[in-house]
Amino acid sequence: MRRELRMKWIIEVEELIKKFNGKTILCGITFHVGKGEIFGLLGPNGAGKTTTIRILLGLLKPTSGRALVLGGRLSENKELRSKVGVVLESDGLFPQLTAYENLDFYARIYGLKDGIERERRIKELLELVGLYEVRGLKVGYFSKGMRRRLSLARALIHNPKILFLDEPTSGLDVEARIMVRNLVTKLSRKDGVTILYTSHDLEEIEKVCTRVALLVKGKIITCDSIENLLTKFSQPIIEIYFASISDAIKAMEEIRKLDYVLEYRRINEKVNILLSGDYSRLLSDLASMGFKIMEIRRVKKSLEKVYLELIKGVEG
Amino acid sequence: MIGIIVWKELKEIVRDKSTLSSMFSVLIFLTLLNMTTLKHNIIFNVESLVFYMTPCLGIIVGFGLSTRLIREKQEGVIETLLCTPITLRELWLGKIIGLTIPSYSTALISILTLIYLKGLSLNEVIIAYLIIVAPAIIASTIGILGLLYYILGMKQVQMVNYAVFFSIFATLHLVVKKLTIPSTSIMSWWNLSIILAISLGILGIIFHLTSYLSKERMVSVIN
Repeated sequence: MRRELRMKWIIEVEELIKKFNGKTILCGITFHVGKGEIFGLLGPNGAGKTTTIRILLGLLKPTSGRALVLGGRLSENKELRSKVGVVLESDGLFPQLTAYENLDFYARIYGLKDGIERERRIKELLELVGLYEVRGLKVGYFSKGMRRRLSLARALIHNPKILFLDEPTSGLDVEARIMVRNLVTKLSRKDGVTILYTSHDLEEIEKVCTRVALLVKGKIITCDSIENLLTKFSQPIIEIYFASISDAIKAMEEIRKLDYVLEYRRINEKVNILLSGDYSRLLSDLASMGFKIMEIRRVKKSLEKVYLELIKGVEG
Repeated sequence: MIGIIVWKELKEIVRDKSTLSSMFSVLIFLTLLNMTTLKHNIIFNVESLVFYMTPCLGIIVGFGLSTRLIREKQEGVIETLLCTPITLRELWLGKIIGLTIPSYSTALISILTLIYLKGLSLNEVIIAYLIIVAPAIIASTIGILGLLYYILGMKQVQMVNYAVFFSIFATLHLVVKKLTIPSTSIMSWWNLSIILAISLGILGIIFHLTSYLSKERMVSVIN
């Protein structure tokens, strides 16, 4: 029974504590990632995101707690390591070798013995990341963005079941960022690859991840789906379009008297209102005052705003 | 797995400019030695030449090449390698073999050239030393350096490098004097066996120690 429960999760982090030179980096964090999920780790610099990934990868030992991948520890299990692909801060590439040779080396390391199959896979990945034309060029001559793209191809060479992507889009241009975003989504949805993703680009996290954990000073502040997070932590802003600017000015006079209105701002005939409660009350109040409403829009806060507010709450 | 790492190391070394500079400095040293001996009409003792110079030259080149291990650690390449199915033992062994092959080859070519230029002749003990014992000495020295580079922080590595650098020069100073001293034969099968056993013993001990290497130390001790 316990084993069945455990197998449900691909990545399990429970009560994980990491102390380094007397300083506590992780203070007992807990989260689980299921099959095919894209789980985002968010947090400011020094929050403990990379430390968490390094512990999961078996590069660091936890002071206490559990960090399991596919029910085991990667540091102790070669077989498990062959199911994992990583893009870390360093690209893990050899500058004296060409793009093709770099991928060929890793393909051999991961046990792709069939030469034709290996060649096909390398070609496929180089085309996918847009580096096929420069496959014969030494990686030492590559730009940061090119190395990052090749690093992603390297992580995918053995068709991993789990991907650890630590800021995979850093240094990439807009086009390449979109490519990575689409690729990651496809891998998760079509191939059922489980992905642990960190990025400083919150727009990207919002678009890519199914769930996120917000890590601040080694503690998880919140862990939920993006949708729940936005609903839970952001009061929606209501945009009300009046028939004319003069109507909007008159409505502003009345709106400011309402005790459940937290903030309001007028832009021409539009008034943006932040409420403490449900917006149906506001609509009935405005209707009873005789205002003609042309259009109503419910605008959600972005993840970025929610993130900043949560961080401010913890740090301030 | 080890073969894949060795092949990759060799490919990188051949394309690396620092390799060429290491080999170039060995050749300069050799030319200077040849010129000095010609000028002073010094006759070499062939046994001493092979006995001392082969491992010395190999270690000089190996020392230059082994800095590649530090670079990989500093640049974080080692982190990615440790996330693959490679074990630490395979990684260490692959790299040591990969560094020993070019170091030994350079030393062997240099010594054979010098022997040819001087018109010296070799016996079977010297040949056995050149083919079996000398590479073992070079490999064990590179093995120790490799292990130290993996477990030490960068400041400690710098201290190790200074120590190795001065040791090489001190040894060379002593060795050059010994090259011309008439031989009380140092090359015997018995001596060779002892040196080979010591070298292989060192390699074995380090090979065993690699299973106790901490990945955490390797990826976190940078400064």
